[in-house]
Amino acid sequence: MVKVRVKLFAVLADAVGTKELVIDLSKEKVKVRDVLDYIRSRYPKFREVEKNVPILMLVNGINVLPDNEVKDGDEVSFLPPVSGGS
Amino acid sequence: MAPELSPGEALTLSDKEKVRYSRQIMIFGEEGQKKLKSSRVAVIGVGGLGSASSTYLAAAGVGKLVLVDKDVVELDNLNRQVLHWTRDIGRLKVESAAEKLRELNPEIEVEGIAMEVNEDTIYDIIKEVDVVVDGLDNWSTRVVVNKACVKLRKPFVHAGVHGLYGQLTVIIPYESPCLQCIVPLIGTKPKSGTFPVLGTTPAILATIQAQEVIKLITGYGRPLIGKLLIFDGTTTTFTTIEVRRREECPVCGKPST
Repeated sequence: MVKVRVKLFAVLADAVGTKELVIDLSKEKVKVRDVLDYIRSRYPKFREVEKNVPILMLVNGINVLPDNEVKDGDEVSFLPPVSGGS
Repeated sequence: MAPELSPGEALTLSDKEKVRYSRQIMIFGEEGQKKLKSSRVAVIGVGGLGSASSTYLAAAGVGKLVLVDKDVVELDNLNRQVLHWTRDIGRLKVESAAEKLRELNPEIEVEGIAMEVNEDTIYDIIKEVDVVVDGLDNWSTRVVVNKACVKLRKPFVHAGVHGLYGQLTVIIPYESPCLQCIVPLIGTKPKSGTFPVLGTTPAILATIQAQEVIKLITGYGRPLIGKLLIFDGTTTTFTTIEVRRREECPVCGKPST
């Protein structure tokens, strides 16, 4: 069992309706990808938003890739770096 | 720690320049002002971000500004691209911007280049400047500019905006994470189309970009290197997070030598 705190920023927080989630994943080995999938499966709006923005993933404040492992008690953050400017 | 930039030889400041810049000379001295005067900065994209960053860089006395943008001014630009006015609709953005910047500060040189930014065109521009400022509106072009800045070892001051959100970081190639370290999956997403934006959002981010450029050039303060600033205008919140280089980054991950 892996319990993680998830922090969401900007449009990702808007999509989920909160800036913070605590989730339990009943798996031995959990990757960032699993945390994302958990959110995607429960918050369809997150999937929609994700189509338009890349996601910056952090585990305990360090930028990582989807295949990075997540341990019990870790803090996982998802930020949507935005692309506009003109 | 600010990197050592290598602007040209120290120039002298005229009496008029000493008056024009007197309030900021109180901060970083005439030496800092001379560094600004001898520096060359490229602003890639003269839209919402570029309008504000280039205005403050011009006012601060950056010796040469190179503006790059292929587009012409359109009516729906005017809520945020404040260097372009109603009378400018239909004009090249680089012409419209350069005209105002020269009027704002005749002491500096402003060059406008109307061209599309791609792998073939951007290297010649970036190799001639000391710092590159992000005024772009999509990831795919940013990926190209990020790579060119890394390869040519030029500081790249990134910002992006959407609605009332934005982010910003200062990239020092091979020292701090490049854009592709921070957002590894960029470049795989399609080019974004029309996006919502309140004019104040790019202005807030772009004035910080200009400030970071001035800090890099003068050596004053600590630029936002290795950190990402996240701005949420809906709650007026600034969050700074540390970001790290990735060894496996396809752009800057290999040894620098």
